Amino acid sequence: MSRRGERALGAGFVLVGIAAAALATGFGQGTETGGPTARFFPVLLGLLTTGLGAAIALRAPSGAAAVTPPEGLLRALGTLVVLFAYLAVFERLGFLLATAPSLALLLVVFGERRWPVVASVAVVATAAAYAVFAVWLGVPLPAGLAGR
Amino acid sequence: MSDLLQHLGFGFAVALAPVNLLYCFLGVVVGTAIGVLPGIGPVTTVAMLVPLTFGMSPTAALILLAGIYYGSQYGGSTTAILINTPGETSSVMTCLDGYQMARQGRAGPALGMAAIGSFVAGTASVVLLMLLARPLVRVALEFGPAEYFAIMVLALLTLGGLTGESVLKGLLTAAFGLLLGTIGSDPLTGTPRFTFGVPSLLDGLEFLPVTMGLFAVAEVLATATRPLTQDVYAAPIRGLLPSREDWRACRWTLPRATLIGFVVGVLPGAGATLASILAYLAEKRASRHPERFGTGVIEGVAAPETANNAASGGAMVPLLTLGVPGSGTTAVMLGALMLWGLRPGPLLFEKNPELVWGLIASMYIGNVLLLVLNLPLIGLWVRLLTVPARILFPLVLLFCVTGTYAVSANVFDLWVMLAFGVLGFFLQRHGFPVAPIVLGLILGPMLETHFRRALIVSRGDYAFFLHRPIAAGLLALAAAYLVLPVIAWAWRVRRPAGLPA
Repeated sequence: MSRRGERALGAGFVLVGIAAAALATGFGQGTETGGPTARFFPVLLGLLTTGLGAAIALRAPSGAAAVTPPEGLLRALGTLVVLFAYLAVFERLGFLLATAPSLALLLVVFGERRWPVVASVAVVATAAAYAVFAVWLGVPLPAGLAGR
Repeated sequence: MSDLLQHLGFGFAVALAPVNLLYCFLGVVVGTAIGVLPGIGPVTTVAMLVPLTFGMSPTAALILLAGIYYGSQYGGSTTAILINTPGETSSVMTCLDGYQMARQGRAGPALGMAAIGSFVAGTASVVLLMLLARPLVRVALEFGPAEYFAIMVLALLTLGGLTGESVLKGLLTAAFGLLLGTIGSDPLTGTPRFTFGVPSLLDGLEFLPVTMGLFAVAEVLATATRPLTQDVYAAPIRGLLPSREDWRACRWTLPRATLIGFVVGVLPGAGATLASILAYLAEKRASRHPERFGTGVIEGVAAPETANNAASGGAMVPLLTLGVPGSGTTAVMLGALMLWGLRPGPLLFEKNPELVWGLIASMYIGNVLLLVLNLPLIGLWVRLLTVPARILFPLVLLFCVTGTYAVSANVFDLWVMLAFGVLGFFLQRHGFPVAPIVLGLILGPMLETHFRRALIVSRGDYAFFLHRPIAAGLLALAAAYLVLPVIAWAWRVRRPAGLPA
């Protein structure tokens, strides 16, 4: 962990808390029952998040900075890019057509370089997931292009 | 007593009928198998399989669903221990020490203790369910919104001590989780809050994508940043049975967690998640080495796994006797009972004794089946450890995506999962605990509803919470939890160096 990271996260929570409290002031009107309105909890929790976030952002450091190797950052970034692309085409291409190539790419991003392994794991795992969820459990997974 | 034994004998006659025995067996096996899959917890498993039971007799169907319920409850511990992904929220606490034990090469004893704890708690809770149903229901009936609010506040405030590193960070993430819980329609007035015109947000954030993101996706991203040569599963796995030291360490854990789990499970709305958290916290408080919790101590696995199974038994009490679900899963089971034309409540014991007592007897049998089947089957799940990280973690992502989509068939939830995966990655990287976010999200709507109902009842009188003895006691405990550490800290700071404590 790093002081700068903690501070940034604390500041992020401050912004989220302020935004939530500000937005929540527009929720709900008064009540005749004596109970709090729909805005009460969001405003309270927004302010609480702001206060606690500020306390984190302003307090003393609690640890040394973590060192991440550049290849590790690239791998995490690559994972995110593949996941993002996967979700973007998930419904359009359908479960089978979107999952097998995405899984193959994820295996490559994680360092699997043997193409027969990549191809077989991607195909078998996709088919197994489809069999469990769609065939066995009856979950309607998106058909996409395969359903046309 | 003889009356009770007579009823139980009748129940065993029903449960041991070949068809009911088969459904009990199928329930625990299928429940465990699905519970092992990340993202498919008891609620999802039971909900998905309810339609399959409509052709059965209500007794057989309820025996099957109950088997799935406690089977999947147990199965969730496997993924929590092996891949740091809770199969359901009640296994969140198991991740803290279970995964650390796996990383230290002690996955076997962790899984073994989870199985044994589940068996002990499952069996004991059925005995308690049978013996204490009516007296416990009388206690639970005393609970109104003020008491529920108070017990949830106590649970959330104690979260600050969960991961041990920083109370402030724990409270911040709990507050953030509660804030997330306010997204969607206001539970009392229906006013949309923080929905930004997105229809998928009207029902609030689903806990599953948030949980999958914060735990599983974040863990995959964190693993990606580490050199994969430092394989987290490199340590050899030997011995599935806990050692003598493990038994000694857990000798009070199992009864304590069983009691906590059962009592919390009986309370309508509390459920296995709260039970596992409270049992973990109680264990940490009772321990001579609380600082070691979170680093891989066996009590940290035994407590939540025992408690969540005890809560499964406890949750049956309000379901069967009052018709009030004690957990999300029993809520689904309540819906199933009503679809079969049955109305759970006190009359169920008189009108459908074969169903109630057959179910109770089947739970004894199911717990024995779980232990007999799962201790040998643990080896199958431990084989996951031999899968290289470069293969395993892409597969974890595949199961996360498919499991999350399977629950709602809504791609929006997948984006939620991804967003919380990134958030969880950064939070965990900087020492922020993420479990309080999940608990805040789940308890938030209930906590708010009870709070506002209490104030409606009291016409806006905030002192109402102090006029109710149980609520006041619970709130005093919560306040003490916050204030006592501050007083202790101030005492240490003010005391001149060199003076005895």
